Amino acid sequence: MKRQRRLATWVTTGLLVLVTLYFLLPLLWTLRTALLPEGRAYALPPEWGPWTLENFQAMLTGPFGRAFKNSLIVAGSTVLVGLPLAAMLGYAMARYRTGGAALRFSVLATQMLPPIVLALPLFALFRATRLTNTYPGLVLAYLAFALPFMSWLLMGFFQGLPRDLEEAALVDGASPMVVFTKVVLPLSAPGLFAAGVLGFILAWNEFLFALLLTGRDTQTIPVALAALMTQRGVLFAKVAAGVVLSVLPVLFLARVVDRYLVEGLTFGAIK
Amino acid sequence: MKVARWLLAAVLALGLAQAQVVLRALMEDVPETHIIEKLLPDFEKKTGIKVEFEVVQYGAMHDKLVSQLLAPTSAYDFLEVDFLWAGEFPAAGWLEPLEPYVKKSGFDLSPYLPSMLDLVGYYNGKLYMIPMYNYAMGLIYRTDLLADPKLKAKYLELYSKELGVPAILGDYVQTSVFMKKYAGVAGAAMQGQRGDPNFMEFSNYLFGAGGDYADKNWHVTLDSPAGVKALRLYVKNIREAAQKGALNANLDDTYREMCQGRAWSMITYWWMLPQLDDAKKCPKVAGKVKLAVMPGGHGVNGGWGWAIPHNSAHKEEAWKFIQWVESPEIVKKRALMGHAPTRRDVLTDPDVLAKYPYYAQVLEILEGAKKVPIFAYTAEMEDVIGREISLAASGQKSVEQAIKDAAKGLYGLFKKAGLVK
Amino acid sequence: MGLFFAIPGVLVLAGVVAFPLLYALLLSFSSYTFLKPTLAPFVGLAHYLEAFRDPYFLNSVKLTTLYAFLTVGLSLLIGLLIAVLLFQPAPGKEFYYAVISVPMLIAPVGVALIWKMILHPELGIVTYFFSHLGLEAPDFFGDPRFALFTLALVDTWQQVSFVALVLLAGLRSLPKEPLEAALVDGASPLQRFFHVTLPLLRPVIGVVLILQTIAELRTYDLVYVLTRGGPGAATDLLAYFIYRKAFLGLDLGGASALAYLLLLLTLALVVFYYRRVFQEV
Repeated sequence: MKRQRRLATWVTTGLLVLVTLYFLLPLLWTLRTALLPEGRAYALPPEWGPWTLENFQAMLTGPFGRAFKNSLIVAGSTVLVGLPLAAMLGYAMARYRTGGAALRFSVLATQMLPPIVLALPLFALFRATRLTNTYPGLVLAYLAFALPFMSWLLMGFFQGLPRDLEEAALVDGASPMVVFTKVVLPLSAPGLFAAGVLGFILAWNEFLFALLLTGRDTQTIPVALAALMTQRGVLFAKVAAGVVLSVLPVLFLARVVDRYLVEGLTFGAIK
Repeated sequence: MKVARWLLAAVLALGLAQAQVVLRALMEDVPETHIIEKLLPDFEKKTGIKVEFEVVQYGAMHDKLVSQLLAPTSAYDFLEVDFLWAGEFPAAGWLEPLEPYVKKSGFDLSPYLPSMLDLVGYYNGKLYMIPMYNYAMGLIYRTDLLADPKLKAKYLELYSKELGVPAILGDYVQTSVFMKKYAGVAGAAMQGQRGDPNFMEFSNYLFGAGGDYADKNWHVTLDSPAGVKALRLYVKNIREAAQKGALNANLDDTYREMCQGRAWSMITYWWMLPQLDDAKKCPKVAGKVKLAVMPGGHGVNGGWGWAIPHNSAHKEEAWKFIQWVESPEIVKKRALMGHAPTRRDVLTDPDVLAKYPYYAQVLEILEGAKKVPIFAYTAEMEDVIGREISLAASGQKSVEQAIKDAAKGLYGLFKKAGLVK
Repeated sequence: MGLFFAIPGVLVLAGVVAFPLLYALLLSFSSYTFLKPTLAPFVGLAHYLEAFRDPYFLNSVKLTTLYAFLTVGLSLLIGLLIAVLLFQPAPGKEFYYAVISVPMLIAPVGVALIWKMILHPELGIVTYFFSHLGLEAPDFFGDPRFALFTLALVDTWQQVSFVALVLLAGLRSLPKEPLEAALVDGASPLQRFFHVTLPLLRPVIGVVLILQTIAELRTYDLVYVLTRGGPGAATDLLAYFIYRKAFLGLDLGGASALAYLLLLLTLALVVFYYRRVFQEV
């Protein structure tokens, strides 16, 4: 028995290492590129020095630093506002079959159109309501993307939960709201986390709406990155630095949320 | 007492009315813009008008401009317009005709090269823009390879001709293929990516072969024998002599090829020359590259022009700016800082020539430069024709079929624009 | 009761989404262009019919459908494998988890540029390795036979990151009892996986399948940065085709019609998956 388990662990570890390499190698390469001066970053044979932090410096002091802050604010708000709304909508669609199939599909329908086509009517609407170049405006636009995806994702999670706990609680006299908040939500903590992440990255990575709806002060990371595709060449070393900068803090945040929030919630619910 | 108060109010009102006008413009993030930015304080001192540039990347410009031009008042008081949109904007009625301003202020248009005024000046006979800077295309080549005795001998042996700067298209492609075979470099660094890159590049072949896209009355002439010959030579060059990956290469990639010394030539924008001839940036080829007119005598013209939106709130002040920035003394200052001139007087000025001797070749290039059709759908044309060129280059279509389909596509666009029946 | 839960979300969506959706539909029946920004005269189904007569449009539909199947299929398979691996006890999982979740945090433009660099025919590290081994590297982006698959691989590299995360969350939220019961019954690990885990995971897999299909059918950024639809028309995906119609062709009416056709294609696929997955629920 023990031998089997030891073997299983080895195989698992081996596969994990392979898979991780598939992701890690391009990322390490990007890191290397970010640490070289622009001209040497793509020389072949590959160079391993002189190492420099100039790309990071240039990015942080330039418009990218502000873009980073803007992206954090916009994406964070999208999750904060969107998650409760999506959870409720997802629950309604999963347990109460509200609106039936029609609601489910129309909720998703907007995502089936390429953003280009929605961009101009939305832009006109925002100009009329003076929401262009503002944080709330962009967050509202992103909710239009994030809500459908997040609520569908949560719908899937809620449907996977066994009904007995909820029914037991209802029989015990709890109101549907209490059932939702005290029973369902803690149990679907991993799902909530996933939906939160989904909402966050949708807002974090979105490009077209950010381009049209923001100005110099409110531009987000994708817009700032795209600006590195200059007429006279792509500034690869700076792109690499921008990518590294945009990923590290967020990764840290995600780990913190996952470890403390999610695992804490699930353990609390088992009671 | 009351009178004094009214007087004070009147003075204040007058003062506020003469509050400083601020002109705003959307400008591309390139050295040209930064050169002008440095000179702006002079304008403010002379006229009291402040100018603010919103500087962005090229990719973001068109859509931002269009959304402003469609609005009741534009956020931008004057514009810089790329030649690609120099047909679209006037066709849509978005630009202010400039003849009245020119006449009223006695602005002198004569120094401007006719090819520039044709490209970013007049549209359908009316003046809408003043040429701002140019980026015409020509041939950049390696002089050291042409001077190599071994290569010279081999070339003479094969073709009974002297190895030199090619003057006709056929010779150019022949030399290019030769270099690939015997000199260990790509014959040409080509930007084969579908769209603006390969369309602009191919257009040089078309003009160099003596062909054109259409005549003065918008009748398509792309599928003439010259057009077929041009595409055939282009496909030969890209398949037999270009660098690896040429089919998806853009300007960026070809620059690197040339800079690393891996290609003998490139057909490109003339401003590439100072970039390549720079000992710091391209030590491998600095001092070994020169500029020439596109073999055949005619290359592609490109450039930007100043314009005033029809919905600008400060048209008079905008014209004042254009007058200033295009005045002979300011243009000369800009040229000495690296601006790409559009006027004969600056290109032949001795001080400018002393700093940039290759401007003699630039003048030659500009005098022979031809423009691609400038109309409402120029940008779409680049993609449609670019697609056909790419299909021929990758061997998915025959040259004859590709030219036929490209001509058909072009005719469809002219029809859509209402230029032909 | 369900209404109470649904209303806040639906209200927001109606406000920000319904208007553009309906306006886009209206546009598709109009002759709105940037040169003539008025809805009238209306042209009915003209744009739609024109699309079906355009061989390049049909080519786009074919390519896009193929692309969606490829990327979604690959990312689901690999994502499931990764999720299962991460669910097992193994040392150092934190590290793997951290690395695997990075790609999805990078803006697609960033991912595209990174891979453009790595797969560059002259300057890329992959090409360099090939040459070291004495082999000729394929022309990843410039060869019409490979270009679409190269795009699919780059896209999958990023998408797998997200799919794995969601599937892992799904695995974590599965109730323990059925698995424990199967263990008591003496089922082998493989049997447990296929007969207990996978069926329980069905709703989550179904949702991922649907969401990813929708996202992949809309791929545009990668094409814009890497190939511009070429070589020839080998990577001319539908969303990029529509973008060109709007911003080069200046034809917002026609582009809206094409966009609604894309919507219909997506809807068809989604309904198909939905029926297969959620039928029994």
